[in-house]
Amino acid sequence: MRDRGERRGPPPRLERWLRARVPDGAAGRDSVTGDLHEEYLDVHRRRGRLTADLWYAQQAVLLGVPWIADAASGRATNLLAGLKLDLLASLRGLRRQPVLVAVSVLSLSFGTGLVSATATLVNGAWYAPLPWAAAERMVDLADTHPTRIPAGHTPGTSLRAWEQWRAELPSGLFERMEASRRDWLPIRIGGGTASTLRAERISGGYAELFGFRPRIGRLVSPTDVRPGAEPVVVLSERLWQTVYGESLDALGSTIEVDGRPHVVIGVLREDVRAVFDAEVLLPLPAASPEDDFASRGVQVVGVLADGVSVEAAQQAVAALASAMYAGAEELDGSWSASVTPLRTILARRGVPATGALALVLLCSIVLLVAALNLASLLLARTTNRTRELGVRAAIGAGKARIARTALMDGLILASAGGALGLFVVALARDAAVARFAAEIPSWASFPVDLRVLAATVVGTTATALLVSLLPIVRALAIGKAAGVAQSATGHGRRSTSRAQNTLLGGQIVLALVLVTASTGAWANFSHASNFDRLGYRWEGLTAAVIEVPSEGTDPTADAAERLGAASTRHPRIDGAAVTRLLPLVSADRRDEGTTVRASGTSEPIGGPVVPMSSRAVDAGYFALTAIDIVAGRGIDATDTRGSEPATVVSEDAVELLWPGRPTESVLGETVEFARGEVRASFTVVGVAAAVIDDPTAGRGRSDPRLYPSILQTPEAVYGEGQPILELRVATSGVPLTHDEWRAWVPGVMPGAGVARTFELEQVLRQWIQPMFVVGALLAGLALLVLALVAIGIYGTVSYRIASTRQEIGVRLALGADTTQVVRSVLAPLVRVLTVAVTVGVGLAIATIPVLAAGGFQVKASGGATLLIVSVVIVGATALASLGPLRRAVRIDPAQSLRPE
Amino acid sequence: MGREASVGELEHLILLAILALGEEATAIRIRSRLGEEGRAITRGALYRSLDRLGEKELIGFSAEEPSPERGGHTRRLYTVSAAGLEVVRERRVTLERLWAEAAEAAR
Repeated sequence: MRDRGERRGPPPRLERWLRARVPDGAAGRDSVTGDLHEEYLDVHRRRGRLTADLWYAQQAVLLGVPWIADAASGRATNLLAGLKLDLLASLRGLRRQPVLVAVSVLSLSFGTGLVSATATLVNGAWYAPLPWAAAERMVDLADTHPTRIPAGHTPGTSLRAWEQWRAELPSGLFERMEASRRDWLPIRIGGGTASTLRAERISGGYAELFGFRPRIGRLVSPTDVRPGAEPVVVLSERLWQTVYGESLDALGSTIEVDGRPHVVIGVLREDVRAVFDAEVLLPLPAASPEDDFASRGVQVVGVLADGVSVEAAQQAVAALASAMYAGAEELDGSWSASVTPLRTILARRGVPATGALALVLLCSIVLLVAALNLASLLLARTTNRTRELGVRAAIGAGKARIARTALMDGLILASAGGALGLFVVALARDAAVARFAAEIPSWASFPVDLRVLAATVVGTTATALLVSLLPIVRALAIGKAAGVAQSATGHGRRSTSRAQNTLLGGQIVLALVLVTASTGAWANFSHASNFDRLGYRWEGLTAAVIEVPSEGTDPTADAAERLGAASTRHPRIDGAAVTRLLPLVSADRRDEGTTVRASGTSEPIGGPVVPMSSRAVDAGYFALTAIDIVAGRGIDATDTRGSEPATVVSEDAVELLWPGRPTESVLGETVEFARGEVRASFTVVGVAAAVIDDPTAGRGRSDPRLYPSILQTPEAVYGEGQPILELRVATSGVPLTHDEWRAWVPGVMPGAGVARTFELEQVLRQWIQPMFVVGALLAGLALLVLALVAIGIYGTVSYRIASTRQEIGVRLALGADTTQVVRSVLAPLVRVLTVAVTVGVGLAIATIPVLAAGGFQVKASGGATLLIVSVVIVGATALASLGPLRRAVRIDPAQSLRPE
Repeated sequence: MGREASVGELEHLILLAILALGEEATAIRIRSRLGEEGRAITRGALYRSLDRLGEKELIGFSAEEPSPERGGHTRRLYTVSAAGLEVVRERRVTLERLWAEAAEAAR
């Protein structure tokens, strides 16, 4: 070990460190170190070595640190200057390849545009602020059942449960709880007939919680829900305008709601009505003795107290609900209750998670194809810059500098694409919001905000890095060889070709998946638009929805008779049928709807999803709609009042009501409709062919129906409210216009009004519109991706021919014929295609269920679709290869052998 | 350079100190001379000022042979260049004029 006592100068390491930090200016690196050395010796002499060392360290730091800061700032300036130079060089290079720039920017803008659009949607549904003060602490409380309530559904709860929760849940859990229930109620204003209108019954603090404000008067307050309070009602702005002509006299007037007089206390603003879509607001009543736990439909919203988690609330609510429901006769033992953040429920309605997933998947595919394509083009561009990069490396450019050069192209193109994509999304947002205003929930806003911007920037940067990865690796390899050992025609070009093949293969695989999905979606749309398979006549039929006065004991049968008879006398009506929907029971509201029981069975038909629909029909129905009668007879003129009630059932309904029974054998059986105390039994006189109501439903699905005779159906079976009938007619020549309907109907039935009229075909076409949009969107994306792949193939083939120009020249000079040259160029491409198509087909088959689950209704395509798609890909390859191949065989051997 | 070269107060003092020290103007002596005049400055400030004056070509320097007491490092002897001299002169004229005017005004 060296004797420390012998050292005379300052600590050598520190001295070296300082020396390295001093710039070589007028002060002088050597001179500064010398000055400090000299003074160190002086301090050492006077105060000893330790003090001198400490003194030296202090001086070195004081001197060195500012110089370090100076150097860093100088490096930053240099870096910026270098970046500027690289940027300008890259821009100059790209300016010489306008086609590459245009294609890249456009395709990337599409990809990033899709990313931005998805981000805007998801952001709007999940993150954009809700318009209520306590929105993020609001939760929905609802009953749950492991089998009866499908996941994600919120059936609400009962009045009884709501009252018990409010009274018995531990205090400190919820800051407040409010509830609402939707009802359809007969409402009579003035002396006219009652109309069935949508009403929202709300608890005392509900309006205040959601910040609702009245247009005039006041809204429902806590005093209105107290027992014995005067019945009050709040009108919608629309009702106030149409009935009261916006008169202030409305306040204090009395209207009849559900048979009882109610005082009008205020008018709800139109913007609030959008939340409810209700025509009147009423106080939520207290539970009556008849209200049991199974009478659901009450939506409960709680505001969690500060610091209470959703999980804690969930535990408390579930514990109380399970205890409450355990002893209830009307429920089986598995009912409980759950707490869900309101945000989750709203977002679920706004953007279904599966739809969002499919959207993200599709966007990713397009973006990935665009990125792979660009990566391939940039790789070729980097390889073509071998000499330039080699020179840079030779004159001392470091790895980072070389990588930066290669990154710059990708960064410029991705940024331009990203900016263009975001710009288009921002522009399209307003148009889309305006176009779909009716479908967008009022609480949702879709701001193109910082989050969307961040998602776009992340997407763009990731794309830039992705597309630049291979070019950077290539550039570094070139830099390492410094353009000396590795000639442009040697190993470098071969490895570029290999990488390009891989990238091309990747694109083809993705294109196959997307094209398969779009073909499937389009096939589904074609299937849906074939209305002939629906099983009923749709051409040339017009229908009017008619509200008839509820007067007499059988207003529906009376109206059916009169409308049917009048139709036969109308000069332009060739055939007519009168029908009325008979609402069957649903899971949410046990008290609303009618149950059906088949003879020989004890359990009524019902459940979470109503498996059947029921439509009371007259004698003209089966003739007009051309629904086949496969056994027995249809409803006919003999099925009038007084005769034995008759019904027709559809074939698929037979399977539901009497499983396993042959169709003919059910003739003579009975079907009992029950609603409250009313029972009505019908004898099955005929079986009709199955029909499809929803043209977008999956293959093989039909909609089971019951067709009781409209003249024999007791009014009480339909439930309360004004009768709404549908008169469906076939007209000779021009269909009846809405105005013609409105003029004709009151003449036939005084007091009746036409709510709306429609052509059946138009309704069906509107129904399949979303499928068309999905099909068209997918087809558009598939075409885009195919175009990108074609560009990719073109680029790869062109590059290969350009890089093997000399080789081809030598072969031609040695007497090779055209076929051999073509074969040599095509052989690697064919190999790539074979592998890519095989992998792509496999992946496409694997992806179909994912896309189908994502709500895209992609049918499981058979081999034919995949074969067609593969042929399209190979065709695109052939087409893209044509130009470069032609150039290859025209190469002049003499010219190609000339040195570069 | 010349007229357009501007110097701060510290740089001006350093130029004067170099002139005052004549042929013995080393960095250590310049600093100690300024200290004697009540203008103690840090080493960092001195070296940075010398660098700046060098960049403005207001000073020049010559290097002495390395010596053991400097750990084998050289020593620089600073001189004021013609341009530096011009700057100092101008500053002096300005100061004298201002002093005269100030004295006149005070009288």
